[in-house]
Amino acid sequence: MSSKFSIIEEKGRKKLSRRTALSTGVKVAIGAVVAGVVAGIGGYYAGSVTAPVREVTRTVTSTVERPAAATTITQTVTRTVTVGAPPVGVEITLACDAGHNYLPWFDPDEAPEGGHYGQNQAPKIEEALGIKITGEEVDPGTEFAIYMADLTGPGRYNIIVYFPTYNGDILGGGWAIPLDPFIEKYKVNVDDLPPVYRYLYCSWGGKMYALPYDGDFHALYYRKDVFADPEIRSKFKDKYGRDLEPPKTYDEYLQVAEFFTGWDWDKDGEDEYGTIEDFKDLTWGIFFDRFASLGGLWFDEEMNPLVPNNAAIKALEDLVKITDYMPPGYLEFGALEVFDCMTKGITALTLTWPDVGPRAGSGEFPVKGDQVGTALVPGYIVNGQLLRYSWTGVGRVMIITVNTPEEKREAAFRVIKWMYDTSAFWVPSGLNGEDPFAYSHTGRGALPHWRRANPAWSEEGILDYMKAAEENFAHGYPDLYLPGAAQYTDVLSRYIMMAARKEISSKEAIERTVEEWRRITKDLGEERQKKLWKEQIVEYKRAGIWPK
Amino acid sequence: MKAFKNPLLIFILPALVILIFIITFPLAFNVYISFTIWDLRFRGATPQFIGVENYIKAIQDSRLINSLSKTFYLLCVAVPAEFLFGLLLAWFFYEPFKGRRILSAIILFPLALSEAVVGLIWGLFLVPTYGPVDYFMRVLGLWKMLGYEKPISLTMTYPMEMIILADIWQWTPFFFLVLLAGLASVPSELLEAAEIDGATKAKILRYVMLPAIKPVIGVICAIRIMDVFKTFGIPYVMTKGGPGFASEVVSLYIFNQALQFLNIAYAATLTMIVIILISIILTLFIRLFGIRF
Repeated sequence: MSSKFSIIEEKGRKKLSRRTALSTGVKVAIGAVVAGVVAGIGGYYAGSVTAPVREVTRTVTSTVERPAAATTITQTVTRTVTVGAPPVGVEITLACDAGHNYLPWFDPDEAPEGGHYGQNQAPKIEEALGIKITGEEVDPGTEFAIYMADLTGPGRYNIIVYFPTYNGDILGGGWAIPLDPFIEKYKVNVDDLPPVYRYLYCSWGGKMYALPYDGDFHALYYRKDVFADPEIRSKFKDKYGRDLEPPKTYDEYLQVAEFFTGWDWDKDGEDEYGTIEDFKDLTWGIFFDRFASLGGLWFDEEMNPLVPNNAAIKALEDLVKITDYMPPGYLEFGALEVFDCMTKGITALTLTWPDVGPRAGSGEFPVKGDQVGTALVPGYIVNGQLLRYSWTGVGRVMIITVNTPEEKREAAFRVIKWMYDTSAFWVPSGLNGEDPFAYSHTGRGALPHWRRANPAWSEEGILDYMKAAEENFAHGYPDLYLPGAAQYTDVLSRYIMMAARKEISSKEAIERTVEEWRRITKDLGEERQKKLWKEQIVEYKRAGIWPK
Repeated sequence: MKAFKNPLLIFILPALVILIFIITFPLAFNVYISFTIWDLRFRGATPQFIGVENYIKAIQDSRLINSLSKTFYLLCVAVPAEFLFGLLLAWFFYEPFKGRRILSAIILFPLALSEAVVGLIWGLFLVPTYGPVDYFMRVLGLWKMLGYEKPISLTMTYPMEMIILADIWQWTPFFFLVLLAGLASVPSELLEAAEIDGATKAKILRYVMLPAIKPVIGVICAIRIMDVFKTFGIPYVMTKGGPGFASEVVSLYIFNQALQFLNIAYAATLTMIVIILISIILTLFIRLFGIRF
């Protein structure tokens, strides 16, 4: 007969059993995890130690073409590569903005022709140089925060590809290593770079810290086929008393935009518009094309903002006037929508990034390569001289971070040098967002690469684009490269938008901007900002664009 | 004393410690750096104590005042609208009908999306030249009917209003879900008694059901009030706070200060100010509506 004591005893036994079972289970689980980790680590090292290290000398022939103006230089590079063992070579960690700007590094769709021609260089670097690249894609909208968090924190990135807008913070802040010793050692041809990229994108205070990755500039695009239409030309001449040509001044630009607004000049059944510019993403850039062409400066030597102020007001007034000839919703249009306006036949003109030409040339849009002409941006007549400046804001450069260990720095330089040397292959594509930044990109030697990347574009169309590209970056004017650039340009952009919406006058917009800029300078430390601006002026003078 | 003698507390103590650490450490750090200046641009920079300078600067910051006014506008329009539409939907769905479950699932769909996706959907929806709203407005001649010579950008002309619409679209299902559950939990005896007394459905809703679920209403409104101060994804994707400063809500302004301008310490100050404001508003709300938890 069971008594209550035996029941308690039985229940006690059950309790003990459950507790024991749980305790044993936990011990077994912990033991399994520890064993797994130990086995994993041991296996890794065992594999690396016991596998025979086969050192094989293999001739890796890489044809590196450095197209020059008249000839193509082909180099055969022979290297010794160790195979069979896990990579004992260097591993470099790269950060680059996500999406199409990542294609030159990694492109699973690399192809012998079309937009994916010439991309996917990282595996080639690994094969040729034995340097493994671990890439990380970064959101361009927040890349500044991501990069600064890494630079000031864990320091994982060895190579960063970023917008030179942040030069003031990154180069001025001491976060990149100077490249001059490596440039000297490897005889890198930096004379191939136009002054605005060599001195303003890539240098700070007299030293070179970067190599370019993307050479942004603004260019004027126009519908070549429409401009050549005899009926349209006659109509224009009747109205304005002169021939229809790509505009050379902003007054001509306004006239041409007005002419093409509100009627169906391409006979597709829809009314079209004169022009479009990128208001949404980089508003201050479209202002600065005009302001620089009026002789304007971000700051003078005493850090007085936007001088002369009356030129800034005129530039903004002209920008506001042209909005009457833009499609509805222009304030919401970023770069891609602006490109689409040209390549989908919505506007007759656009003043925007170099991407439009290759995009039309790719053949993937209704308006094809030869229908789009490229020209130097318009300008203003200042002191009897036509002054035309193309804003070279955005762009991208490659730096080696100061957190990169000494023993990896040379390898990192060889990686960015490889990208620089092979840029004539991957820049011509209209799909990757990278644009010409060297004279060799616009010389005849680069023509075969442009043809292969843009099969829908004729040789004549490509040559026309290359000539205009070279003209525009030769007339390049830099973005504001100073710590706090994001703050200055944020304020300027917001007031430009308010003026464009006619909430405030252009005069008020500039006055408020100037007031805010003075406050920002004071907050950031006036003396330090002045010192860093003077270091920038050194590069302006080297580039020949600081007023005498 | 009795509690401390409870051995079970020992078992939850580790989790409690971790929770306290996760909640209080970031807050304490935030408080600390709000009294400093910390320029992250330069190598080796450390926080430098400056007392209440950041707070004084914040009080005089017109851009902060502007961002708070935009946030309050969002709060005062969006939350009542979400409550009203949510209640109407809940009342409509209160009685069973064919297809109720499927329709409920469809209504809840926006709640499953992130703010950024909602902003993207509405941005694309409203963009002129490319978007469907503009297309139908043009085809039906509605622009001219409304007095516009040519189509306008609704997002750039009425940025806060479009953000509010997107916010209502996303969060009305939240009110619908919770209010429906609340209405369903009202004791049937109360409803029957009211019916017997001759009350109409509308009167039952107003005088019986709503008072019965007052605590539920209080909780969801309190949650949404706190949420509105955190609204970021929709304005960031749709307008980036523009045009000008027209839709720069407070969370967007703090984001710009912290991550675009790298003014981490000042951003911490703004965060503290927002926390204090939310606390005051919630306290007033709870007292005003006599909500007891």
